[in-house]
Amino acid sequence: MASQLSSRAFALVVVLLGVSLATFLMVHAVPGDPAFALLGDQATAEDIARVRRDLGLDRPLPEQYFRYVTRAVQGDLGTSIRTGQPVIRAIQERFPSTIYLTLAAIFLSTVSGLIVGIVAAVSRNRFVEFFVSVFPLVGLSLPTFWSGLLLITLFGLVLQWVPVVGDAGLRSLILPAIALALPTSAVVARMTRTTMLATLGEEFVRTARAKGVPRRLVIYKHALKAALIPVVTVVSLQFGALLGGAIVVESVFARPGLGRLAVEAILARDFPVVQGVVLVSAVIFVLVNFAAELVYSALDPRISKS
Amino acid sequence: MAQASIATGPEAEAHHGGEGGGAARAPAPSASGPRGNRTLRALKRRFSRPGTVLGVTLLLLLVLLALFAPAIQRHDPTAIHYQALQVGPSAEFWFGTDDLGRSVFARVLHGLRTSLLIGTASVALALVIGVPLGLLAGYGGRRLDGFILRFLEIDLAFPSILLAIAIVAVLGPGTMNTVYAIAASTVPIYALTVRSTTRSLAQREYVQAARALGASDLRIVVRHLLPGVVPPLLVITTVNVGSAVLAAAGLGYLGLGAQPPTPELGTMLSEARAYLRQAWWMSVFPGLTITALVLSMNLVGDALGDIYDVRTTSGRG
Repeated sequence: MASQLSSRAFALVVVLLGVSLATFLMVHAVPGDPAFALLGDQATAEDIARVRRDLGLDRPLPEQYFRYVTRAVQGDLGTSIRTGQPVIRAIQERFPSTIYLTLAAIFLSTVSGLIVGIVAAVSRNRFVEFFVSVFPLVGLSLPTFWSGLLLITLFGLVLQWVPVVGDAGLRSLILPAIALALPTSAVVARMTRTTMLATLGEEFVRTARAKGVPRRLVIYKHALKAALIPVVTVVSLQFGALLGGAIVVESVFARPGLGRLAVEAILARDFPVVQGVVLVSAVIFVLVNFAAELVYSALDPRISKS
Repeated sequence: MAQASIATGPEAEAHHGGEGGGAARAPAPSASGPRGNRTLRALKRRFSRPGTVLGVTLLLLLVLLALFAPAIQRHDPTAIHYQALQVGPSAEFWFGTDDLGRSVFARVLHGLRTSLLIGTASVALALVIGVPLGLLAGYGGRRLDGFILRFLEIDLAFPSILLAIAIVAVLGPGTMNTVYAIAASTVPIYALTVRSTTRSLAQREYVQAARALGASDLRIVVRHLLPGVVPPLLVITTVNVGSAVLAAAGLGYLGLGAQPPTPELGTMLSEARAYLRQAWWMSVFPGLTITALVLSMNLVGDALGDIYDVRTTSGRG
């Protein structure tokens, strides 16, 4: 177990270094001089020379990368070209909005996905069965930016139950969270249904039924418990999808989160900000997956062997 | 790690039952012999389900609409009609007109073309890179495998929309850059699928036999391993064209995808956002079209998965 852990931790470090290298090279992959790309067409020769010196662009690449990583570890991600604000500050300001949205969507999608999945696995009503078997496919096919618009139209404009744009606390979190949760909810529902059906056919469930344990108890105590492990896996893998999806959903609902920050930065060619957002999101995603892996290898001892 | 975990069942592997020589047969329903019959029977069973019929019909219809868009449209998708700004659906404009007086119907048809183009091109590019990587990782020995896996892990560390956004940030928005961006974020899905299938196939007797008979590595990979990789690839490719369409439209919505004047469904939706109340047709028709296209791909992918007994659990966001 200990050697398992250390080899996973080593892989984690390699991936994090790779992620930082990729984001570092991003700016250097822009055609032309990065300083020129940073300053735009109006820059004078002195401006460019100054920026090259300030950013250390006149140093060899490996040295630049080393500087980039040591600074990033200390929380220094450079300064925004557009506002002159430290990138880390801009990210800190926008981060809560995105993370609340992502967490709300994880909660909604897990709960609704589990319910739909269980109903789909155990229901004997044809209409219920039809609905819950169609739901995952439609949920996976609906673009979040369209379901978001539909939700705005219905609950914001027609019924006027909730504010439609911006970030005004919990009430304005509901619609974007639903839009963001739908596709993941569909994935969780499918996964739950498949594993529940598989578990319900297994010996220990049949034995429990034969012993006279009521069907309900078998379903919720035995089968559901066994089905939860793959669901944990799927939800943790979906975290990245949700974090990425939040970018689009934030745009639909005009929420001032990380995604809006990134999109605004791209349109203004504010590279340090784009770089910072990409790096921070990737690092969070990698760490969440690592944590999830630890959790489910603790839940299911079979996994740590493979 | 297993962002796209793929279970290849006995059916998928049975496509290589026994023969050491000419196993390079495509797993097409027309294949003869007992195994062809099984596929045929699975196909028939599948086609009796409403979901499959709906999926195939919808997909064919949408592809035909996209192909023959210039013949079907009554107006040019970029033509501006000043006398008909934001009018609702009518005999003249089936899906109404937008705020600039352009025909929403013509724009949806051409948006469909853009979506299908980006969807298929990005998947093709990802296959061209991902399949060789997967074969190398699965058959090329431990060191190469470890190296490629690390590379794929780093790629997977970026949530896919975010990776696409970073690439667009570097290359600039545009149709081709959308293709590159989506391909870059989907390569690991194909590479990992091919890798796991290759690894299990390489253990099988007919491959061992071919090696014992002195077949070269290249011959083993091309004649014996590659064909076995086709069924799971076919399934995830179908589903992933759908995901690529969604991703491309998402980039379009953000203003980072195909650029005006190219009609693009995501861009149309973001333009419609300001007129949700006044002009519902501006958002409903493009939204329905994307959903129908992706749904048809998912239904067909599901059916293929059943026929070849390949399960895909989740895509990448």
